[in-house]
Amino acid sequence: MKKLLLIDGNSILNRAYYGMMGRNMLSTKDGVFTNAVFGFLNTYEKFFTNEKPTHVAVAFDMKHPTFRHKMYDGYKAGRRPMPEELVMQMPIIKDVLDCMGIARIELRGYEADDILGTLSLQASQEGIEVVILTGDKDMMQLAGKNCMVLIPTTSKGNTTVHEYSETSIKEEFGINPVDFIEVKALMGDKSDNIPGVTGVGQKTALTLIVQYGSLEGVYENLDLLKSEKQREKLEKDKANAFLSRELVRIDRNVPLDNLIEEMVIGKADEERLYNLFNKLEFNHFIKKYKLKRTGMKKIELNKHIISDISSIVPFQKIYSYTNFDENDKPKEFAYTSDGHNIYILKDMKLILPLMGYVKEIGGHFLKRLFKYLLKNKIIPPAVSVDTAAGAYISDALKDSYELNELCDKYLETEFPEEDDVACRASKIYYLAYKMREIINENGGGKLLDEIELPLIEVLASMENAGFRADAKFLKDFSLRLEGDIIKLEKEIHAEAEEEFNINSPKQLAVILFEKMKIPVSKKNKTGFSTSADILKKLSVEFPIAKMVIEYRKLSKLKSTYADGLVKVIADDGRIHSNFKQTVAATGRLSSTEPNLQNLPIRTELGREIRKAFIPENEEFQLTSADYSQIELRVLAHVSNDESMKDAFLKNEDIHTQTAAKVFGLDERFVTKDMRRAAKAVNFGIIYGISDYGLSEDLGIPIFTARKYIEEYLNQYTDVKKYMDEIVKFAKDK
Amino acid sequence: MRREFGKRVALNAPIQGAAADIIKIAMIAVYKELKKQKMKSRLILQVHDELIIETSCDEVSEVEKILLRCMMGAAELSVPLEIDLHTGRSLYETK
Repeated sequence: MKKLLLIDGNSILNRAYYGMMGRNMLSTKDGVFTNAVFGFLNTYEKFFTNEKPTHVAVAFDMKHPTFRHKMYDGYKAGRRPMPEELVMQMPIIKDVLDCMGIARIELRGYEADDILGTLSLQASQEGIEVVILTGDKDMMQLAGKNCMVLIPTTSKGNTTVHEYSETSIKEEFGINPVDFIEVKALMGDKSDNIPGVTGVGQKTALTLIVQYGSLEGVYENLDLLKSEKQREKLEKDKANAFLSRELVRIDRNVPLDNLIEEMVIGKADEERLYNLFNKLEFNHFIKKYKLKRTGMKKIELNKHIISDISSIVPFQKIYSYTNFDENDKPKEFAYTSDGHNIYILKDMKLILPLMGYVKEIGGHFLKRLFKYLLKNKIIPPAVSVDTAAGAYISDALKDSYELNELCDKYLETEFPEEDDVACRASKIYYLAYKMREIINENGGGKLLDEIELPLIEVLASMENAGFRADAKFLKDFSLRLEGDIIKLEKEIHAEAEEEFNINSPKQLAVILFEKMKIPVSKKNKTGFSTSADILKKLSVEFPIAKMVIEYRKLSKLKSTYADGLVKVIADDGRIHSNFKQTVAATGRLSSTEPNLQNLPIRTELGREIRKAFIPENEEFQLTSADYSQIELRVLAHVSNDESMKDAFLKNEDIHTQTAAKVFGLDERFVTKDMRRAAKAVNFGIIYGISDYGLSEDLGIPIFTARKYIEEYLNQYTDVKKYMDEIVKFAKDK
Repeated sequence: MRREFGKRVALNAPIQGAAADIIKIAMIAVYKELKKQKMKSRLILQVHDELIIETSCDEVSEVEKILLRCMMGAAELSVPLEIDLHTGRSLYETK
């Protein structure tokens, strides 16, 4: 049984474009917008799967004027032009369709509607079942015996598909599909600038056509109309009604050369399609259509099962992959020394004896395995490569270092379909070699070998160790905070003279800006802002703002720290943070779940939290060692600025020296405020702060902040030179 | 960014990146030294420019020596590196 799926290309692409529009519209890293193409393909996939057509054709409008424009100057006048971001996707979707072997039809002087009208008529006459997919209700006139019109509509994010057949139209509207031409002739169409009869809407038009059958019928029976007004309207716009009918009538006899036979779904040009999807960054569709890069080296695996200690194959250098269960215990483990012969451990107990042989290991996020080894008193082998750490060194800005993504990015290798633990071990083997090559090329080898790789065991050990936390202290502290919060809540309610939810920015805004009539300085999308900096500005004048700031501070302390930390204390009474090596673009470590790197320090109350972090027992104490002003020292070193180096060499206070320089005074006359300003500039230089940021930090005008920075750079000339070089380097890159 | 301590891509923050590398080098050195000397004291936290050791009371002075040596030795700059040491019964007391 043949079945033809006809797609209204412009309409579906348009729907896809607006349906997938947003602040972050899908685009490639080169800035080519792809949202409409992506949405189109999704829609196509969905309908292709549902309808299972044997033949498919997609029709497009052409830019040239059509017979309708010739008939009526105003046709489609005033319509917004297609946005630039959509225009650029037109040639792309056509290219994609061609690669997929899908027939694509356009004809000068005709619209997509006419092409679809003609094809659907031809096909149904040949006894082929037809399904038309469009977003345009005008196409309902095409429904017929073997011809269904499918119209997806989206409301509040939910898409429903309306299916119109000849019978369903008769049932729903009481007319034949073709009579929609008559209805439309009366009601007109604003979007196409088709006039119709002024003052006649869909309801009236439909009633009239149901009763009189056609325009002719309506106009022959005008006398019978009860409403005087209606009659007048119809009489006045009679010419327009008949013109409109010609405009809305879809031409079903377009001179097309295309044979329906040619619309049978062709074979996709997989190589071109792969390249195209790759360029569009459509990994989803590459996977979906199982597309492969051509010319890829094909890897075959020879799997061996190791079931007992005696059958362990003892390599000194392995590449391995481990799958863990939710308790961080290994549940699958495979290793290889050549990427081809893969050894799969049947029993996880074999990992430990195996490690007795291994001197060097390559892996992907090895920290987890190392934690397991350390817990079992096994010294982890040296790391030859960790492919995640390697990828991070090559490109620290990526969001994820997932193994398969890295293989796609760096390898031209085709692995077996089944992405099991054996396959992953092989992937690591090939990726490890490639990673080395890349890192040797870009000069990151030392960084990898001397820092990131040896660090893995250190982090594993730190995570295993954890930090003893005093649950009782935290709980008591939480209660104390709770008391303070309730007290403060009462005070705020008293100030507002009403009870409300202080945590709701909306309610708070109403209280502050409507009830208490505090002058508004800034409005955001959702209404009046009650952000921290707004409240801070208001707090000078309005005590309630200050109280809310304090309230939020206490709530945060209680929820994130006092309560939050109690929840993550493990059975051993310690908090085991997760130290991530591949997150911060700067190369810093980042601690998560919980983050122990941002325990409160600024306020006395916040600092209390630190009392909960204690040594294991009386036999231990805590020692902390911190670098003093390490970043400024690094700056002094790399910029080779003599006067900055001088301060450190003579062990002078760098901020006082900076203040003396910036303000042009002797160090003896530097005030506390001057030193504070100088300190802010010093750190501002390191962290790349702007004159605006500095002015906010110090509460000074922007031009003063700018002057400070300028004077700073005048004084530390080599720092300035260094900064200029960095900026230049960044631009050249 | 091509720099002294490695060639990390950190256009916005080469200085922070270099400082991060120095402390990482120090961490590795401290960890190795504690392990080598089979000490009960353990490195348990890093907060950017600060290391926290859970120190066995009979190893206090040895741990301090290790920290100073490893952290000072983590990089050779044309200016001295300076380390502040604190001890206490809680993280509150070490700051």
